[in-house]
Amino acid sequence: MCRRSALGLVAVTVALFGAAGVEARQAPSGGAATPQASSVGASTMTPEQARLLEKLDSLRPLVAEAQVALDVRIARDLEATRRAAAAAARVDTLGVGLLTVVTPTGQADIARALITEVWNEHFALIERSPTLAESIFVFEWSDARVPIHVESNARPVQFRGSTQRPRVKSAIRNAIGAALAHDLRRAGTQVGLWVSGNPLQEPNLEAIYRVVATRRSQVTRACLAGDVSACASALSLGTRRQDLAQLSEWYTPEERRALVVAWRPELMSRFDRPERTRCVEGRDHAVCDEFLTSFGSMRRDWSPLPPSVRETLLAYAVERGGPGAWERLLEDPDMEPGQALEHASGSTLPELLAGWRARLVEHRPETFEDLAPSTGLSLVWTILFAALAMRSTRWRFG
Amino acid sequence: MYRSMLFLHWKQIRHALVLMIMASFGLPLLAVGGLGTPPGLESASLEAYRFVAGFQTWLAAFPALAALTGTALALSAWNWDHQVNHVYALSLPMTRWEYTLQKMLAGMTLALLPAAAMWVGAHLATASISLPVGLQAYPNELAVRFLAAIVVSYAALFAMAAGTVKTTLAVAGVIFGFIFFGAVANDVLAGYYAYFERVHVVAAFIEWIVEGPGPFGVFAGSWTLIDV
Amino acid sequence: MNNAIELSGVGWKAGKSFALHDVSLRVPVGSIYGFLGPNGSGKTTTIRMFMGMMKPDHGTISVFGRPVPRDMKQILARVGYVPERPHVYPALTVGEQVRVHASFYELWDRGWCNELMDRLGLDPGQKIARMSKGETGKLLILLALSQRPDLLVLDEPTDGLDPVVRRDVLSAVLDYVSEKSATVFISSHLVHELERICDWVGVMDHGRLVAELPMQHFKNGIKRLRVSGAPETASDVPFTILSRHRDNGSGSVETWIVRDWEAPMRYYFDGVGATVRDVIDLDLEEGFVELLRASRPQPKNGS
Repeated sequence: MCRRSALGLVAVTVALFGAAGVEARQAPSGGAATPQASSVGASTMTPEQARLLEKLDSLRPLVAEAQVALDVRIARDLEATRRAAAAAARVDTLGVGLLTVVTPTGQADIARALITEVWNEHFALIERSPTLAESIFVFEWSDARVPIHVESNARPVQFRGSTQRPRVKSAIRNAIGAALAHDLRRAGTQVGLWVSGNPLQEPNLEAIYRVVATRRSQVTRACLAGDVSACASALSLGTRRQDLAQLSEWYTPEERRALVVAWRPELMSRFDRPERTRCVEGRDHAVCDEFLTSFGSMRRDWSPLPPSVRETLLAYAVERGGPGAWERLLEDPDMEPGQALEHASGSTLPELLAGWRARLVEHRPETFEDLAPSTGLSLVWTILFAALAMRSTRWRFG
Repeated sequence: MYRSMLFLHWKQIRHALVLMIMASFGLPLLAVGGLGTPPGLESASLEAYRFVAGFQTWLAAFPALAALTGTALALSAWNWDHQVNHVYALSLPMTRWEYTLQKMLAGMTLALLPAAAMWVGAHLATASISLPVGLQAYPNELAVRFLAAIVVSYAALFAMAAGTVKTTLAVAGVIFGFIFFGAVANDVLAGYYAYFERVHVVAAFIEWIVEGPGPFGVFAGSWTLIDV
Repeated sequence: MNNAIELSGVGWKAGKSFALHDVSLRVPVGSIYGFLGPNGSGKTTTIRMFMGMMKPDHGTISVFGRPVPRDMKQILARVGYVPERPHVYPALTVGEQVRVHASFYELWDRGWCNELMDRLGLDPGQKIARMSKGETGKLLILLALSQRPDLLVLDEPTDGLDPVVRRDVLSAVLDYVSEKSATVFISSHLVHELERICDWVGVMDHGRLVAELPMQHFKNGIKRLRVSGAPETASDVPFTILSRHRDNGSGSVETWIVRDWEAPMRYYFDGVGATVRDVIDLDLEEGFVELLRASRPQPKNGS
């Protein structure tokens, strides 16, 4: 109940009490008029007065409730105001790059140092960002938590004091990246629809390589083998249609059948069991193709590579484009993703894809690269432990 | 003499060792079982990425088995000696360091058995499936890492068990004391020195032991049989 | 080198309760040395000292002239050891334990081992954990003797064994000794057992070596004398008085326990105006008891 309504109700109640006040004060039991008291005085009351009195009685619980709610609300607002005032007295506001950062007073120096490091390393080339301009970053890296109150567009980077520095820096980077990703979405850009999530977060290129290398798709294999046009196709840069022609470009008939087999079986229930069997057992690829294309209305994305892979291309394009690349990316929301990336990077799409592919291949995980040194080290430690064991003397008793 | 040492150690641990050999052989097969596509057939898990991800769920079992095997070998090495108060060993015409060295080598010889089982099992596991394009199998590397992990954990515990109970308790006490009191001290010092706010010495010590140049660095690497 | 084992001034202390006090003993080569003493007197500790299992706080030890513990490896190759408590692995069979033990000794005599196994009635397939105390004792002797040692160290080898087993064990030892002229160091608190086989005896009590002498001297040299008219203080005595006390209700007659007695020493009493009424031989056990009694501090209001 809002304050005004509560006060209004109280005023009405007081007025009603006032109107019936004379008879109530003359009641032998004192206090508010009771039905019995009312009935004693009722003999002198008009029917209209009696009705009003009855109505007043029924409003008493409501009044009490309103009063309680009002008290609670006032107390809460006072507490919030007190906390905000207290917090305001203990926080600093910094400007780093395009960022506005709020941090507890004692953390101002470390916040400035870390955020400046991250900004200069990864985002210095970005000159303008609508989302960053209206965001407030809350930074805190200690166990002494200070309640910091900011509006709803706060982006927190808050960790316990024992968290290691690299992890804090990584979180700062991801928070800034997430804000910048919002630029893509708010502008309604085609390239924003093409990626999702946070394209400027810290990439795990080894994991991305695994994704690309293990996709069961002929275009991804061709892409890894060096065919940049296949990379463009695999990354869905050319088209967003998913008809049979596109699916045939991406997947061999056997791979298309594998997609169907991997898809949730309950969605195949609209098809007869014999048809499903014909597809699953590999006898009729046409039936599988019919399955795939009939799912188009369900907006299933059959693209060979997921958005997480596309994000790495976008990040590479921005890096390659240098100063102003981010702004160029946002310039024309209707630009197709491929064109937008070209415009942002200042390179042709084949050049961009070739560079991106080369970087990806560089990050191919070397699964047992540490085996020789770690085995050697184990041998050294084993010899050391053996020496310790042999060191003990013959004297065993006493 | 070495053969007698080997025989004695085998006698003590043969039942448990057979179980570990079976586990070492079976683990790679279990890890790929249900993931793969036996030649000529298809299954639901056809995407290679899911293949790799599926194997990841078994990853912790490999180093755990290696540690368990090394521990069992180490404790059983000295078990009977402790029972007879080392009198038998001390009455033999050999120096203590010779006795200890031969005993240690005997245990390492026995460690070859579960490692060999792992090697055979890993090869069988990869042969039993059709690896999707883009993936490779690493059975030899996995077996080597497994052996190295068994040997180093065996050696560490062997050295501790070679001492008296007092020595073992002292070493364990120092380690756990450092971890406990070090954590408390770090928190206190963090209030005075910014360095301790950013660097947790106990965490750094544990990281050194388990990764990098510490004794158990071999546990920290990749244990995956199948990867890109 | 005349001594198989030589300890000089060996001392060792464990807390407040037990200590070896300057133990010096010599075991002649080729002798059968009986090491006597009550339980807790330090016999096993002394054995562990020259076996290299414990380190003395001071003193020197040598076995076959080689210093302990520096040359322990060479020493132990010539020593057959039967400890107080069995040190064999319970999970092995007799045959397995024998094979394991044999691998450590170059001089292992397989034929002699098999012969002993038959003689002592041991079954190679029997698990040690299931053997009786007597069978385990026989196995330990078998292992020690099959090494063909120059020195046999037996720490209470027949303790807890029945008479038949005890006899088997001792006879095996004696047969070996007679064949090889090995030195035997045997500790026991069963005095009568050692009486028959030992030619040297050392007596331990409360961590001290209270006596070390040839068995003949020990047996024959300790006597009980009944003396009358002896002076209060005896000086220039040619023998060792272990104890003397007045007989109850017999006036001036005293009982003296003496060591190193020889018959002509009667004349000492003539010289002091005393008379030896009786010279009574003590058996080894009685002599051992008197020796111990004499070595212990007397109570303040003693008899």
